Amino acid sequence: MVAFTPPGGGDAIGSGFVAGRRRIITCAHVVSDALGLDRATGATGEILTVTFAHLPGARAATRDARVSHWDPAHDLAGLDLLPGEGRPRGVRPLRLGRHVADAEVSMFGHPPADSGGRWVPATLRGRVAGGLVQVDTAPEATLALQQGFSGGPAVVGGHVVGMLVTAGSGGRRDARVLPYETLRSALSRPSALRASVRDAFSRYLALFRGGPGSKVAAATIGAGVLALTVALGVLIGDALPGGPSSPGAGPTVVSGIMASKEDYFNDAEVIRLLAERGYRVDVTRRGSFEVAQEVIGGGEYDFAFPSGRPPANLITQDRRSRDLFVGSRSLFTSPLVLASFRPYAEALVADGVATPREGQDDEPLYYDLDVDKFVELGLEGRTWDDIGFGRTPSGEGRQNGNVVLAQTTGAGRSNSAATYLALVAFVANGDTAPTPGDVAGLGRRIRPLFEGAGLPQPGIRTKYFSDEGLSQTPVAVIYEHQYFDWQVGQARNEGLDRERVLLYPDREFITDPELVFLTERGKTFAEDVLAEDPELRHRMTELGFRVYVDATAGASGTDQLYAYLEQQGVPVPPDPASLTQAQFPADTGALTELIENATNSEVER
Amino acid sequence: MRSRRIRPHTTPAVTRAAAAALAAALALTAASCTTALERDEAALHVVASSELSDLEPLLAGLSEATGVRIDLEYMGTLEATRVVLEQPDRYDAAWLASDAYFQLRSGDWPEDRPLPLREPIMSTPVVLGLRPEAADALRRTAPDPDHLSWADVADQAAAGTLSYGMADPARSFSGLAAMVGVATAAAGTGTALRADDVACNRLGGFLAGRTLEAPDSRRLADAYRADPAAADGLIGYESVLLGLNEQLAEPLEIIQPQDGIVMADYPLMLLDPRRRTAFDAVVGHLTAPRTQRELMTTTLRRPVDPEVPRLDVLRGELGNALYFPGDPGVVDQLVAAARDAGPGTTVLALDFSRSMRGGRIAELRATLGGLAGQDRSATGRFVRFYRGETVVVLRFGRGVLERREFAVDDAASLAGIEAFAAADEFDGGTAVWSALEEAYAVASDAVAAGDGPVTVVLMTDGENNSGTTPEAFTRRYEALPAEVRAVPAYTIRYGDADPAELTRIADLTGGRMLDAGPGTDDGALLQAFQETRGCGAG
Repeated sequence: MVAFTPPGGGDAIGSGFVAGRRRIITCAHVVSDALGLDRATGATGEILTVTFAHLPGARAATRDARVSHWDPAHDLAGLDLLPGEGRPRGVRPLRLGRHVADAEVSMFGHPPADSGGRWVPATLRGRVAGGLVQVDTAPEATLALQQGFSGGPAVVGGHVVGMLVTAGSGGRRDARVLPYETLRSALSRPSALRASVRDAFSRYLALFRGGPGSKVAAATIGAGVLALTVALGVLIGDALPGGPSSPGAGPTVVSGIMASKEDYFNDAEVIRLLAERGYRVDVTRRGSFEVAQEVIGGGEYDFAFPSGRPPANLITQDRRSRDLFVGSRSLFTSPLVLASFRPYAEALVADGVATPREGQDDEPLYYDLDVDKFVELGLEGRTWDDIGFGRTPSGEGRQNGNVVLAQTTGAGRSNSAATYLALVAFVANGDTAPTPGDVAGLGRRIRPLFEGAGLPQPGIRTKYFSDEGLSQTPVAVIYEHQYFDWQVGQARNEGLDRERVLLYPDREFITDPELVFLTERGKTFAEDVLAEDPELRHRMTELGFRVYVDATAGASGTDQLYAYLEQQGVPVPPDPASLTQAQFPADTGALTELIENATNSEVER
Repeated sequence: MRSRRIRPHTTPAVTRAAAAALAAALALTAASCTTALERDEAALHVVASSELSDLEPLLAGLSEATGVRIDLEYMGTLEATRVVLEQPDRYDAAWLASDAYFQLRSGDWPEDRPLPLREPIMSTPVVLGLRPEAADALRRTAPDPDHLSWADVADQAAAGTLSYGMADPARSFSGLAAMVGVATAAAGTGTALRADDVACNRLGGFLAGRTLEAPDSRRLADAYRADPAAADGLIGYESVLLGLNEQLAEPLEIIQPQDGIVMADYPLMLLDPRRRTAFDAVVGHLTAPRTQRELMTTTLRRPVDPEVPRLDVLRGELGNALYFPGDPGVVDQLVAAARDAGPGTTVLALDFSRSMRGGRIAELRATLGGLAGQDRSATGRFVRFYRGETVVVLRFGRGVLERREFAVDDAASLAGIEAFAAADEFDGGTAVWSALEEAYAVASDAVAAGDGPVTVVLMTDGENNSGTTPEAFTRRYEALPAEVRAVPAYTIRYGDADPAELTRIADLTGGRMLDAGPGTDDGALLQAFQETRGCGAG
């Protein structure tokens, strides 16, 4: 059973139920309302992200589904879970059946302020106009069949015998259900898929190669994904079997393509833990957008693990449009940071651009960076020498005539670089998410920052942590976990590295990486091994990640990370003075255009 | 080999298309499977930067440890990059000093292929190695002897007191990196070079010191070892210079220019994705701590693994890395600058009318002194008159008063230019167009001699009031051969000169009018002359 909420959230406006291998049935008007569409508008092909709440063990799961059966005349709609979006574990479809006269049924729905849903006893009466059947609530019922019950099933003996279409005005006798004979039609095969958006994606991806100056086509990504909630009322069945191959066989080889997350899968301890559990991961490392490009271009992997949402969305949208297996799982995250060295951080502090976070000793490791001022330095062409680099205590006597800029791995290839670019754009746009109308001018305005830093640095993290880091990368855009991993290693061996410091942007993006599984094997690996195994999860913390934890399960991923750092003798970053949440441009097309304009790619239209 | 997952499709049309695609995919997989098997037994065929021949002693161990035989074919890095882009199937992998040039040109990589996987293996900066006495001499002339810079090198190269060898920037990354380093320092913007920054070639002075050339860094080192008298030192990879030092009677002192270090990071690049297994094995071996240590001690490159303790000679701080240009056009321009940098000819037509007397002529003389090497600013040291350059100076009043040609080769010739301008002979009129005509006569001869780029610079503080008319000049100019007309005339407005007239000249000849007139800052005259440096043609 499922609940539908309005696009902006709020009380449920209707319910639904799982009635086939991947089919969800509900009312047409519930779908329209959930999409925020006029009820007269056709919704076939629209994609909805649905959340199943109240799974066994208080889990929740989201799945995407596409409207594939649209019958407004009967107020009936069928949605199909997208390929690769299997039903959450433990969810089995309900079967349809005929009712007998005066059948006592249970009606399921979501009264206001009740996301879990309720059962209401009722009786199905005779047929009324329009092929509907009248339903009366039982005398003992404490709830009326109200709005949140639209689309909810009438169940008797484990069978769905009807679906509520008219909730009524609060009286006991004016609600109506659609009977089995009509419901049945919504179980038919889905209609043909909409035209593929693959072309648009390949043109979008063309942007990510060839470097500046190459001609690329601009494409706007269609297929908006709307959120709506589907809460499951009844769970039938047990957990599905899963896990590694039987003992005696060789390890199950899982192939993954990823960017910075290779830090986890290539870790010796992770490799060992996985081997114990009968798994081996074949890692291919690329920039996050190259990951998307390669998967979309037909590269065969069990999973892809780009470092952020935009490339992950490219993969899922492309595979859905082509009816290919896909799904995703959040495991851990790590914020984007600007990694630097003490003399440079001190110069920024002296210029009022960075502030050491409170509560550290006289060699602070963590600073808040005023992104606005930092960007301004770059746009004004001010150099490290200009801001007094050689006059700081640790920079005494040094010179650097380079303009104050952060170096990235290339906005067209990597998520960190694209995210940094979006961050700069957000700030330059007055702390507002750029709209499609803004991106051209905005991109050109911030272009000097990216042109000025020149050729992207594919191995920037290696450079930053090398002995030549101070000379090679004064400010490098990396992920926080890479820094913590380094410091834990240093603290254990030579002692804490007091030269390398972190500048936290005072506007932050949630990077939200997702493991996107592309095969059943990848799915099992992600959901039953990585997400469940305590030791594998603990290792995520040890490598500096913030692990996603169920809100009810105790210490947050950040708390776990900080506890580990403390135990390892690495100072924990104090809380920031203030933090603004940055936002990506409204859609991927706008992000594309932003990158084009900021990196001077030519656009062919 | 991974199997392709077959999933049911929903409509006949889709199913048909998918079936066709699947059949094609199966055929492809089958074919590549056989090839992969056959090829895995073969050696990994790798095109490598020439200086990687110093790895030969380690190859046997590599093959033993990994079961992969690795077969290196040597080439200059940029040459190798071009071959790889033109024939992507020719090699299994590439091991280049840097893939910066590949990144710049990655638009030429076949669109249907992912860009090659790359794993940096070791690094070494491009530095300057000088004989100790030449290094000492450089420090004596440098404004900041503790932080030697490319500007110091350019200055002494222009003065004729420093010579060096450098690999061909068109073929070798070390040569290109040096050009990028010097040009970035010369532009002085603190950012990656843009096309505007290299529109004029400010490297004439620097390139005047190049007395030894070779196609790649290995052959450059060989040439120097064979004849150390050919140059005061070399520009090249630190590793190559340290290796060379072990064979030299007089080892070179390694100098890391403060204002623009470029690092070679030796990525191993997988060109043929079917050789992935072999590639992974080789990368795994090369990046293991033990191999990293071996690479360091054998080749004197810096390990990519920060945990491997450095040799003493590889410690110590480097200068600041520059922002490497991301615009392929800029790099092409620099390569062309190095190739075409024949010693140029500069024709200076200077107004010696009476209004120039007093402060104005004093400033002009100071300006010429600055161009002769007395301006010690970074820009001044890059754009000064340089050894091999021909400077033709003509003084004009009512007509051309005097014309002299100076071949810059030493301090005496530079003094000659200053002495010429010291003459206190001024004239009553201002024959701008006559002077220009004379300048183009000189330019014609220089173009005919075919030496290097030719620039005409005309400075005046008045309006034309005698001699050739604009119309007459234009007529005769139009009749000149195209290559002479290609020589731009830069006009410098000083004092009461008429900007419209000077703009007209600039527009006609493809030059530019530079304003050092009323309202401009102190030093505007010197800056105006400096801006014309290296902007010639012909």
